[in-house]
Amino acid sequence: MINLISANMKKTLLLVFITGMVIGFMKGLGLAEDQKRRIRKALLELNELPRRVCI
Amino acid sequence: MNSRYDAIIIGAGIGGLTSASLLAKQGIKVLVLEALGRIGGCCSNYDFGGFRPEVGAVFVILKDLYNNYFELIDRRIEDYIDFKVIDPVYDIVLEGGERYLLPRNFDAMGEVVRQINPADVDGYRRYCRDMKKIMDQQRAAISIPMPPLKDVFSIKTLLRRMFTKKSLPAMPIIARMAPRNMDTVIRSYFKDDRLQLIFGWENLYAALPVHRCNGMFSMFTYLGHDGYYYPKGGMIAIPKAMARICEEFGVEIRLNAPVKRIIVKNGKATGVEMNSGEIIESKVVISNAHSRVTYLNLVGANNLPSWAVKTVRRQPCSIPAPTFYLNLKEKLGAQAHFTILLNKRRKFDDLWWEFYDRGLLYRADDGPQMVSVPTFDDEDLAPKGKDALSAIYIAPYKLKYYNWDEIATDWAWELAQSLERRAFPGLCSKIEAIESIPPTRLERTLNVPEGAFFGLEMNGTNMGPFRPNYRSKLVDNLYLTGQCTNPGGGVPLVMMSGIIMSSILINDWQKI
Repeated sequence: MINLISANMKKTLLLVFITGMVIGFMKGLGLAEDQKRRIRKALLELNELPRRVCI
Repeated sequence: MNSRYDAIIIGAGIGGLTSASLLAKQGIKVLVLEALGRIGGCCSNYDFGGFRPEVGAVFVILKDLYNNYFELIDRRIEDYIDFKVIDPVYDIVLEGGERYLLPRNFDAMGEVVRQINPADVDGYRRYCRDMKKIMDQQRAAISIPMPPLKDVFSIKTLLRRMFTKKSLPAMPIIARMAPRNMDTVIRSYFKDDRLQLIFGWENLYAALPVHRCNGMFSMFTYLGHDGYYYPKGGMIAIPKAMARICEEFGVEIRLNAPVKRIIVKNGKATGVEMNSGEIIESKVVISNAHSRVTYLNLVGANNLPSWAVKTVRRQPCSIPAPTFYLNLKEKLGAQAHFTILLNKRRKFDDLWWEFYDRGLLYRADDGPQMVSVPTFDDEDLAPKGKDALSAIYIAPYKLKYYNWDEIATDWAWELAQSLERRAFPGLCSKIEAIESIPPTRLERTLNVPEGAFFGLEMNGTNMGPFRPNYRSKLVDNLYLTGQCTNPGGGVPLVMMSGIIMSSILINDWQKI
């Protein structure tokens, strides 16, 4: 795992940077608990779509 | 396989009866198994001490779609069902006591709009013009003669129905409405809050909150003026007519015959086991039950991959439609078959976020109610001189602080008192009996998870390819019809589901 990360250091740093940006952006929006719940629900729903096609 | 029956259909709802009659007409030997003592499922009438209010569906819309089924079955709808047009369409009661009787006639309705806000008359005319173009397209599509059953779901038929000469004027309107939600569409026609409510509350029929309801549902009010119908004998007259047709084609229908499980051998459905222990074999099994009931209860998690079990369990249901019934010892004096109680726009929208989503009950006066007095159009649905009344309201399936079974009757009384205050003075003194059907009871009696008789939610992530397939991809020789398949919940749509499923099965028949 460590080898994998060190071999792809640039990509790893970029990923960490983007994740930090997204988290910072979401915090900056100051979403209420309800809004966060709705976003989480929507993301979970999107995640389900490929499996729903196979039912 | 040498089976006694070619096809077993679980559930004598509209989807089950549609497919039973169509398949039997093709020479397939069909057995229909119904757990309850009556047919119709969520399109039926409930016998409550001689009063017969509706269970589920309360009126007929898109009547032309019914003709498609009767055409396929070589019958005339007039010989089986006697429809009466509903007029006035609604008696709308707004917060603060404002009350408007909505006539079916377009010009008379225009006068009502003028009375509420003269500035919105142009918007109303624009609304009627746009909706008429969409309806003309629908009519043109429906009026194309039905092909033989095996070709109903072919690309050629679908294209022929989708692109008629009436399609062109309707397309820009559909393109504008379909990507938007219902609230946005209605606001583009009407500026007045009251008119936005009067033309924009029918998202409840889709069992979705207004912000999650597709803009195409804005057509509903227009459909009412185009014609809502009520069958003589109540909504059960529709499944009764279909059961009669089934019998004419030799279909066997067994009532009070609950199925325990679908027998699956080597990934193939081979028959069913009844609660009584009887085993009935068949070449295919068709389920008219909710997809969650079909897969999790009847097929069983042990016959499914674990990802499928999770996916089926997580797929969201539409909102429940809890109801209460009132037997009235004298006439109520209703002005229309349907009385709709609405609140101010903001309260109506907040109801979803502040109460429904959090599992809370609201103050009875703050919620909308759809009151149906079926005896307004058919006196035979109650003893002479009396009225039957049913009211559908919004409430969550899971309550945060209460148990439905404990509070159902008290809550129904609160709602009845609210009805008395808001619309029908003296109502409570006329009540002979009251019965409350909360979501949990709907779930138990009709076997619809979460009491949602529209089945799964009807939004983008649960429609089209994301709704359970007609031909199961998890179990061979298992087919699904009903409100959980495309195109969704509601009597004409479920009938379409039965037609499409039968068409697919007929095409598969040689391979089975």
